[in-house]
Amino acid sequence: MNCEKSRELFSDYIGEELSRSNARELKDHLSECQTCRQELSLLSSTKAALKVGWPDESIPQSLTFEFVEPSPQRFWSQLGRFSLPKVAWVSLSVSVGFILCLLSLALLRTQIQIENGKFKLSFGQPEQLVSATGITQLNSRTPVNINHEAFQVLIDEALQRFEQNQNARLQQALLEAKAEWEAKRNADLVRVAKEFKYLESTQNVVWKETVRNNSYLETLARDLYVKTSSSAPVQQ
Amino acid sequence: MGLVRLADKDLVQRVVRGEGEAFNLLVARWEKKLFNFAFRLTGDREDASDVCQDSFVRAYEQIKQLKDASKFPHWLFKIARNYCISRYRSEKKLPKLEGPNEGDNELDLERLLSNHSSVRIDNGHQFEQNELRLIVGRALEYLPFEQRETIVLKIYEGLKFSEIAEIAECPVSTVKSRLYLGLTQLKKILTNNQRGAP
Repeated sequence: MNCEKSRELFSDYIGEELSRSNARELKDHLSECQTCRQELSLLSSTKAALKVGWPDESIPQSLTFEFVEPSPQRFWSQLGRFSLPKVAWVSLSVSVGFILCLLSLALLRTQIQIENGKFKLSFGQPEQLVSATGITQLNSRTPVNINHEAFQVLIDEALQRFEQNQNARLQQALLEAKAEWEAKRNADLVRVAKEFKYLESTQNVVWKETVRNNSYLETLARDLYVKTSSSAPVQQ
Repeated sequence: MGLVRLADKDLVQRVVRGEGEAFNLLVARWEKKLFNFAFRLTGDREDASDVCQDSFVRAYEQIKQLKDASKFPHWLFKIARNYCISRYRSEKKLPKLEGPNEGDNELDLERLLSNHSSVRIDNGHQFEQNELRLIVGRALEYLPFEQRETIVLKIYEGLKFSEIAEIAECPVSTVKSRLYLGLTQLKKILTNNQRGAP
């Protein structure tokens, strides 16, 4: 290996990425060449001086980012858009469709009869009405007559279920909003504590500087006094 | 909960999913490194703080574009490095990006050495820490940007040549050459090279 080839490996050596085979060759060359040996030694010393001369310093003030998240007030507006999952949208549509269907059947005064396995559907005035209380007494052999009042009951029940579901979702949203608010509040408290600590350390540094300055001034004053008194003319 | 134990890669994935706290954890992990990197490149504490902050904001905005989450630190250094370049180009404060020619180099070295003619590192002379800090700072400032960047990333941050090449967008051989040239320049400054001596 010549000096030129040897210098090409200096970067690998300094960067601690020298392969074994190259290390062996470089070592052999350095044992013979004093110039290269001296240069590599100086480069290594330079690297060491750089590291010692400029150590890592602490950041003046730590960074913390705040992220804006949807506020609880916007829940309903989001609900009207895309906040619900697809499954919820499908079930909601089916429920509404079912309710509308029942309503239209009720408005048309539809009668449904099932007799001996035969299904009969008719609209308009009923020939024979069965009271709402009578429905419970019906069995599979008895002809089934359902009037619009029975449908009304069903509709009321469906509406009630729908309302309950909505209330449950609202409650859940409120709970989530509360938890979110508390988390944010805790983060704020942590940040305030950090700021306070930083302020405290700054005050400490200022106090130390003041003490140091005072002692320096005192020393200066003392020196000045000594010099003045020694150079003052002696009164005869 | 338990975010602290997660690797950078996992935290990046959480940030992509919208977890802001995960990003704050990445900031806490890397802000000191990034600040010191920017400080050594710019030589100015306030500029370094600004670069650090801007880099994190940019990183958050563009984190979805990071293809390999495990390379977050290098990607972050690259953002900061680009900020340093654009910042100083706009203020026309960036020292020469091209390597100085030999004649200017000698003159500048003489001028620099005349201020610190007693500085040597080859004869066991012990510097005061502040003195050495000043000399190292001035010496780094003197280097062309590419050499300074390579030295900071290799000597101070301990990155591999291949990683530096990725950040600086150049071949590995160029990175090695920049390290050698930069260190040789610094060696001349720090060892006085027998020219500043009376």
